[in-house]
Amino acid sequence: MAKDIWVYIESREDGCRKASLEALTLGRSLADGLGEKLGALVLGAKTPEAIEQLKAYGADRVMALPETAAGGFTAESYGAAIAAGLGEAPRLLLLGNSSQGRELAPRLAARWDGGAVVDCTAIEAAAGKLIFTKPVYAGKAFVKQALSAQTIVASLRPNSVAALPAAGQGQEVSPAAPAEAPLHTVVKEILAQAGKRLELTEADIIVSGGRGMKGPENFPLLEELAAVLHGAVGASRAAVDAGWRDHSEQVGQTGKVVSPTLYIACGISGAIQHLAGMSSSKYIVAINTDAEANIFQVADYGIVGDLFQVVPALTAECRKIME
Amino acid sequence: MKILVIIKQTFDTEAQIQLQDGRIQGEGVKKILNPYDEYAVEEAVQLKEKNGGEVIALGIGDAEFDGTLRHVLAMGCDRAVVLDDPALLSADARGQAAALAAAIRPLEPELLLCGYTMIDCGDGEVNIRLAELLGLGQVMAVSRLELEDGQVTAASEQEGGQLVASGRLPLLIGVDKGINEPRYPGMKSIMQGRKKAKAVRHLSLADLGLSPEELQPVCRIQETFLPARRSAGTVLTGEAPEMARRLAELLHGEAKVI
Repeated sequence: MAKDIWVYIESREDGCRKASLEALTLGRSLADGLGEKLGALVLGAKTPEAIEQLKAYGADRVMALPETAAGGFTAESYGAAIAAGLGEAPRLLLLGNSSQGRELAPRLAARWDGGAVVDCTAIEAAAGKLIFTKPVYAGKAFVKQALSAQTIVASLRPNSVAALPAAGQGQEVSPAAPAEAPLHTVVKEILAQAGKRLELTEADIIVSGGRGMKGPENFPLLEELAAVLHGAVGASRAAVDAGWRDHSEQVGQTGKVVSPTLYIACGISGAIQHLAGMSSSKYIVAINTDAEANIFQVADYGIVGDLFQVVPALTAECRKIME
Repeated sequence: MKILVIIKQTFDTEAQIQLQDGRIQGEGVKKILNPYDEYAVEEAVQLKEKNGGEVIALGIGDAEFDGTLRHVLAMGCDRAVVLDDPALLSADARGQAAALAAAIRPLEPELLLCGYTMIDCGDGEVNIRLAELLGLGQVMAVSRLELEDGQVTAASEQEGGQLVASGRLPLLIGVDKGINEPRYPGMKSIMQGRKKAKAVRHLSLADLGLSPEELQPVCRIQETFLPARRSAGTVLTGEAPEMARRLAELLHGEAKVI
């Protein structure tokens, strides 16, 4: 029987990725429930602070792997390095459902002939078994799954649990072996987006615009509100298809599925595929001139009014509160 | 060059999900080609038009799959192979990947294209497992693809920016929206698609040399449920500055989110 729970941690200069720490927190409670040890595994750029952070968030073991020969993230190289570093396939490997997590989970599951659950929102340990909850059709429905595989690899949707410090043994361990798989791809360069933007899927607050924004020139209104609230800017499919915003900002079934604490929809009517992508937000605000718009059916707070007047006023009010 | 596009059929994005006997009800629901797969088909056909070669579409499906097959053939795929076996429709991602791998090996494609994610399950598990089973490198969420003398350069959308990867064929490339504008086949293409659809190859598990036992799912659905319906909350009306002030108050004092 495979044993131990490991969590793959993405770390950057400013510390461990929030989604990774959330996975670690969930890993801690599952390890306690199943009587397993919890390991944290970090690859590539890492700082002593990141290692200390992992100990503070409850890891019993911490393993650091060197950057691979690919020179950056490729699922093939990172998957091979993680498998070699661990030596034996664990009972459960958890990842944050980031670009890396959603590629690594199936890749490692296939390597270990195990099961994968990508983008789960909850995992419960009941009677020694794990039950995974996963949204399907962008959250229009949910499934609870049980897996009979010896090894399971699962990625956790950001904002599904709150990352919390916890007690763990915090022992640093060495990798079982270095990776030696042949590489078919290498990383040529990493192009950072102009201006450091908050990732949509990890943002606590999202200010989103749709057709009602009337054009790309009006989005600075939303950017300003998002900046005051330390949030990110999103867009509906209509705004993206019109070429006003980049596809990376699209919220919905053919874009990103988000669950922030607060989602402010400005000039968005609320097509089914958009609602699917943001309905799991904790609070939804809708600002729209059309009182009959679908978006009001799911909004906790609705403003029937002209966003061009309401949003700047709201920005000013929020600035007062945030100060 | 031999290009293989892996395609899947999904519910239309505007479809409402309904349960019947605890399962998602698919009868009568409009089905479409997974939107991201449509970008993959377009990319494959454009590469063929530029470099020559052949585009083969491969997917798992039953009789309901025919419309999607005709569509990709009309878009310019040369032929299609369908894994058509009841055991496959009930298989999990692990089993489906094993079957696709068995079908792909004898075809020896140089490039595998697919959508980087499926809008039904919300992931790309099957195709990524496939890459591992075939021992291929992969680049997913690709918004730009260049190909020259078997050398591939692909830009992948990641949090906070783009990662540009390079590698040699064969590779699996999972495309993102924005890589191209899929064509809308004209009447002539539609007629050609219909003609090509008559020659679609259907393969059973036995044809692939697999047994139903090998495809036994490791992943089982215990329960399917719909999310709790959200209800409309407080609606504010009046003058813009006053509504904004009250909303900020509610967000701060009542919801406590700012």
